[in-house]
Amino acid sequence: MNAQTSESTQSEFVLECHSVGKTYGGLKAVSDVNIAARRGEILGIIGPNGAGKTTLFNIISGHVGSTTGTIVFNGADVTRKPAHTRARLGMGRTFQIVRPIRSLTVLENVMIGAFHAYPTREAAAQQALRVLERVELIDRAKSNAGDLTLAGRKRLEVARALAGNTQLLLLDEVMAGLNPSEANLAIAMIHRLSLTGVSVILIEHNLKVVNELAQNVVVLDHGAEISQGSPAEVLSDPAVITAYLGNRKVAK
Amino acid sequence: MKSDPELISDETSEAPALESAASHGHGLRSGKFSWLAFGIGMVVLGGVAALLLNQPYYLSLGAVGLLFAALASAWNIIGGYGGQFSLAHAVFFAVGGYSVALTQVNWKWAPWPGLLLGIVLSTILAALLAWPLFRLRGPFFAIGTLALSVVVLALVTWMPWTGAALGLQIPFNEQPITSRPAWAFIFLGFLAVCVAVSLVVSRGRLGFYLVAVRDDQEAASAAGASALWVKTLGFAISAGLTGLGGGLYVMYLGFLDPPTFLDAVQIGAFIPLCALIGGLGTIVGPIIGGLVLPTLQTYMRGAFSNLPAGVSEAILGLVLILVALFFRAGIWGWLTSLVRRVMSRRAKSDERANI
Amino acid sequence: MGVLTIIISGVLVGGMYALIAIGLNAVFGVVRVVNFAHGELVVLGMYTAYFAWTVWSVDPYITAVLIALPLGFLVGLVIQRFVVQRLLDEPLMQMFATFGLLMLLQNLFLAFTRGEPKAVRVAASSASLDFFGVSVSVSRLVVLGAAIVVTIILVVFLRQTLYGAAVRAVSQDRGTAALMGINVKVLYMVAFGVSGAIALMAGALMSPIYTASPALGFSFVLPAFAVVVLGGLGSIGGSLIGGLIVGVVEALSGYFLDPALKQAVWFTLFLAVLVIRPAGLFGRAGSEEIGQR
Ligand SMILES: Nc1ncnc2c1ncn2[C@@H]1O[C@H](COP(=O)(O)OP(=O)(O)OP(=O)(O)O)[C@@H](O)[C@H]1O
Ligand SMILES: [Mg+2]
Repeated sequence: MNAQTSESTQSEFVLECHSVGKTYGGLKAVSDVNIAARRGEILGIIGPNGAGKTTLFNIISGHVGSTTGTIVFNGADVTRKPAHTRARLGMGRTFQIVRPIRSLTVLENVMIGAFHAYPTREAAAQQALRVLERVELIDRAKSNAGDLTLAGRKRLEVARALAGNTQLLLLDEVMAGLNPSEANLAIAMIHRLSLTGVSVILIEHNLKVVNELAQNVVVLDHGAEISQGSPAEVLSDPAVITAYLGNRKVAK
Repeated sequence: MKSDPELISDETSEAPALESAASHGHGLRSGKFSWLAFGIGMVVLGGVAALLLNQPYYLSLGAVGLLFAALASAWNIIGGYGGQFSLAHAVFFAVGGYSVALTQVNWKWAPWPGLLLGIVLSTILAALLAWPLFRLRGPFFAIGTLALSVVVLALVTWMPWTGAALGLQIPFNEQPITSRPAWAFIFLGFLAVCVAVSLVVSRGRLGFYLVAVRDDQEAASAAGASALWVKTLGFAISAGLTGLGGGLYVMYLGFLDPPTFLDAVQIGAFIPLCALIGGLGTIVGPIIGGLVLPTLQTYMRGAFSNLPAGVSEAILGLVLILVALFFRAGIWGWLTSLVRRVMSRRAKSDERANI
Repeated sequence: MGVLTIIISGVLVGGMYALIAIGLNAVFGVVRVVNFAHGELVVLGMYTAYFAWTVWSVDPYITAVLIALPLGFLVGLVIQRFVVQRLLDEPLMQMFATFGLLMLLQNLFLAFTRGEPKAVRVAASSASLDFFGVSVSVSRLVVLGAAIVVTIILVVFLRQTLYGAAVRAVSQDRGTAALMGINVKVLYMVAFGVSGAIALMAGALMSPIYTASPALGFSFVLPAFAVVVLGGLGSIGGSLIGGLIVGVVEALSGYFLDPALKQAVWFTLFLAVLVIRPAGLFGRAGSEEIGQR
């Protein structure tokens, strides 16, 4: 690929994955995936259950070491960097199964995400309040994180991921389990965040959501990338259709 | 892995804003008045000590209570906020003790630079040990620290220059402070230091990170906290304070022997137990626990003196089990939740009166 | 004393560590709970054998099978049902609770025996075999044999039976296993029961060798932890081999360095393993982290 990327921080791509792979025992959870996210875009990742989407996120965020491949973030190779370093460089992620810090309030949870950019308590609290405003969770700032509804907890995940001057937001199924009206609010929120310049990579099961939000889509199946392109292209790709209809023999 | 109720139950449970606005247990939200409360608390404790001046028995009980309150506060930084069940604090306690005793006995140092040396050495030792020990999580960390303290006890008993099993005796005329009442105030000062450090830590970034790492290490690292670094810092600060306590305790006792300083149960487990009974991860809890538990133990030893040895320790073990089962928030957690319940009940009845 | 003698004595001691560690690991591998009081259960087995021997003149080897096994199963069951079961999602509180159990049992032993040592002395205590010119204590050989037999039974049982499959499912993911219809609570009780049974049996088998005293449990449980970590968390076979390694290393260091340093030596070994391979020699990588979440 682009050999100059490691020099320029203003490269076209905020994130590049070069043939990353992860095997668990004999299982190839992710194999030879190449994706690149443009600065400011919303990139969708779709795929059936167990396709390796979350594993790919874990590799990108540094929570799981990849077996092969390199990760380039903002032009710098971060493959060997631990998760917290990547977070400090401006990568924020949510977890599919929400993970609030239960003994802290909503505000304090978001402060946890802000502290690396705003080291004092007051500055972190200010930043957390600003972020809570952006995700429309401000009126629950003093609630205990565990007391939120599922929709609230998903928003809290986003807020915590966003709080440290984040440039790339990795969202893992932030709409799963929400009712249609909550999901619509979430779509609007992601859209707004994207307009402020944050790049977003979005794992989603709901193809309608992807269609609405994403400029580009990557499709994973059995750990491999089977299609890539605009939502319209991808959704009409026969390989994607077979993968989603579950006829795995045909897909292979 | 935990099951995920959030994926199953999806109903809207709007907790009343009033209840959630009240602070929930974990000490981070020590509000604007925490430094004021700190000052008042220390003055009150000092006043009580002054009232006991001509009651030497109670004063010495109080002195030991204050020492353990301070040690429990120090342990609470890594054990309560950080959730790391360290059983190695006896080691840092002993490092502080030996620093004072060895420098004084061998090189005729005054105890004060010895105290400083103890703080430095125990902090450094903790920072060095953190790297292998924090590769272990949860119960394995506890086992590692327990093993460490047993090994250090074996080493210290074996090495001749530590005085081996006999320990070290500081000649009486070389002890700068032999007046018992003075020690109650010195330990009070030590408590003030430990609580002040706890306040600074818990209100700052480190305290937040410690709680985050305790509750969910992956989420914390995704938010930019280095779990290893956070735990190492918490462990080192906690160990440094514990080392200071060990140095002071040698000065108080005038001697040092391995079992008194390095016993895995009587020191290593007893300090965490004080913190637990008072309330883990809070500022006030460990103070209460440290004041209550040694006093209770001394009382039981006296009261059961005609029963066979072991009864009072067995009761302590039973208390530990019961607290872990039914009383996890400790005395302070129980008190605060009681107050919160009363307040929310009053708020509700006010609401009803308005209707 | 030749090196062969030392190695053989190390293997024999290692068999004892292995037997204790297997019980510890049986609980750890399934319930993911570290039982600090495990050593006290071993001592309870020793006192049981002593009691049966002095009061009913029952041979400790008969006690081991007929009394210690069922009694230990019951004790393990009770610990699981009334203490651990309530603390499954509270790792810190589990540690406090089992540590409290350690203090409770140890001091009850002290109170009941008034600290007097209790020794069971039967023919096997002093009997020995000749093995290539090295005299080998029969009673220690029995303990080693028991460790091997228990390992084989457990490994075969876990591989071949439906219970074994259920154990594997539960130890990997409790929530999913419960959804699959496995009665996790019963499984945990069985695991604790088996652990307690092995512990008390080990104690009874060791009673002709050691003199029972309250503090003995603590001195057993630490090497047993080292063995569990060394051999691999949850790996029964690993515990057997880990036990033998710790036993031999301890014997060699006692001979070549100083007996007082043997603990320091296995602790160094233990730390080295933790740093190089936290899951232990035979454990599944990553299993050391499961205790936490
Ligand atoms: N820690 C692990 N150990 C072993 N196998 C794993 C592990 N994590 C994931 N896997 C396996 O890797 C594959 C991909 O899982 P992953 O969670 O990435 O899928 P996903 O696309 O996110 O699925 P979903 O849509 O259900 O969230 C699955 O077969 C899963 O069982
Ligand atoms: Mg997923």
